[in-house]
Amino acid sequence: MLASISFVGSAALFTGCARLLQRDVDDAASDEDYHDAVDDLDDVELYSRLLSSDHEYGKHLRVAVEAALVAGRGDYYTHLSTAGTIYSTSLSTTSKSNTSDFFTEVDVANEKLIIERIKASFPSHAIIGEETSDSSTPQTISPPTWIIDPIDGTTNFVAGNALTCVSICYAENDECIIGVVYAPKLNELYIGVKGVGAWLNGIPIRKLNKDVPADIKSCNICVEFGYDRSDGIDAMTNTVATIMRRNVKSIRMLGSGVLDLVFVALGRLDAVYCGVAGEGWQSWDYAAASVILKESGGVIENWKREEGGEWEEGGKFDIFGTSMVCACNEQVRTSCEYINYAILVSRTIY
Amino acid sequence: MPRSSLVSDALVPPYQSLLQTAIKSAHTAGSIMTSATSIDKEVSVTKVNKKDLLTKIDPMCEAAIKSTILESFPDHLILGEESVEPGASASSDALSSYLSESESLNKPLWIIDPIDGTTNYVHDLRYSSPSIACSINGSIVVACIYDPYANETFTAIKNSGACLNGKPIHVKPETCLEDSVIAMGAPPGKLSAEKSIIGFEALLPKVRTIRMLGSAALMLSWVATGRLNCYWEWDLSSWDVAAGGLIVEEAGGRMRGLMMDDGRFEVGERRILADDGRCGEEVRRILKESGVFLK
Repeated sequence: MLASISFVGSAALFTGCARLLQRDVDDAASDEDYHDAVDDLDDVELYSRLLSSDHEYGKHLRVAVEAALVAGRGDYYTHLSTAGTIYSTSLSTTSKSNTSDFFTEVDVANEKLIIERIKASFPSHAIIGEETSDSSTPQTISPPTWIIDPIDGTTNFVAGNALTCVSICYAENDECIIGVVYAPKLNELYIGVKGVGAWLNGIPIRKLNKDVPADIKSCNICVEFGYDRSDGIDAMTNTVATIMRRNVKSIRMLGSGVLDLVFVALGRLDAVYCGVAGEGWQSWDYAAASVILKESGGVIENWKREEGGEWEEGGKFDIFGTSMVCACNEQVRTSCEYINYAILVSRTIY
Repeated sequence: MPRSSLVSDALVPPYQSLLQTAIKSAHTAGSIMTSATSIDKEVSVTKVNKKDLLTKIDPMCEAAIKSTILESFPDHLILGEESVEPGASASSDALSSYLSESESLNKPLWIIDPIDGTTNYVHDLRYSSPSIACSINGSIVVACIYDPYANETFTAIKNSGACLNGKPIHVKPETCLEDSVIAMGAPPGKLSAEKSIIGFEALLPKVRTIRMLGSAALMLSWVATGRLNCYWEWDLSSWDVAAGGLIVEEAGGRMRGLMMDDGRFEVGERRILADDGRCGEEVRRILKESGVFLK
């Protein structure tokens, strides 16, 4: 099936994926031996071994990666390559809650494509998808559940801006186990497996050369809002104003929440405010990226809010929470404690 | 190619050959940038220490650009970001000085930023680029901005249009401001930060969304190619905007001095607003009404 997809892009990505998906792996070792041998294994070897059907989540990972790659190519990639040039054609968009919140025909088609692939391998699993979810969708990741966003950063996607991606997560027993994020125009595939590791195009993320910010003034902070343009807007503007006045190194608004969290894992950003008024950010924005983030040494937490009361810090990460989160690196978190209504993600080690 | 009619005595090279040199130097700088930050699978770490990216790679890129230009045009003048002291007044002084030299000697002046978006570059947030412009008598005639990560070369020749990787590009206005995407700077200076805050608060409720991407040159290029509808910033140097301004204009958009009622833009103007030819008027009005223009 994959042979029919032509990979236009760097040799590194193609080699990584080919190895990933087609390599025969020596599966003689039992699980126990495997765990003991983990530290001795070359990471690429480990990465490939994950995909052998012997590994507990090998099949899940293979399904997620294939689905992400297939969804990221085709119409998704065609639109990204041609938008903003004389070859572009317009996409039809449909508004959701307001004109800032919309979806395209590619969102719908790709979500369907991903769901079909998951159901073909795991017919009994639950699926939470951005385009197909409604108020009746159960908000739990206790039974085996897939959480998908076919296009994160839809505004960017429509404009032909590269900061957009496919996000697929597998979760069970209230934990996100596998996170796969694919940004086709950046030519980057990010994978996280709980308790095992995280990779960028096959390279272990923990090995990347990342600086740890000494204090808030050295931080590169990203703010990402949802679509609320009514009551929540003051919270949003106050947050930005406060951060700007704090004299941080830089502020960014990139437009893809999933990529923001992944970029914290990679060290490209130091912190992200994921929505500040209980608006916009949903489980499919956090799920896959949180695995990649945590396996790269980063942290994401919720702010807890008392009913009708004050915001206070603390609280286990809950992907269904719209309660706001506080950060990790102590210095950064302390500096941010004046800022209410924040989910703060930081990549520094706890 | 016709010679420029602006300067009667000087032998001005054809614009096409100026552009080829601009592209060549941008590509050279771009490969230096990416090889310093490449993630080498064998080594598994980036090759260059983060601090060195600014202290070594930035000057290396500027040197490479200068030598490429001077190789083809040994008598041209070059104003490079790396060679000027930091700060707005140093930047403006340097520009004035080079512009008058360019005029009195009848020589083209190149205005270059080897890496626009250095904060992004140091963090490996892959949105930064060499920005190269050539001016004749203070007027930008040729421009090139190169994103080495996306491998996108934005170019323009005065009165001959703008291109991305050799293919023509054009701005893409939306039907209304509510559907438009506005980009902004998030500058470090105290006054600039206050202006940005006022502007942000005024614009957010009225537009589709706001982006802060961290490279003026690329944000201008993205207005030209329709990925953004408008970009405004309070305090930029000539090398940040010289090339991007021409690219926006040649793509059917508009580059203006933010405070200028008549929409004038002259190289050296620090407060800018670039748009798709449609939403800029309204954005400017909103900013003015919100008090951004006040002292």
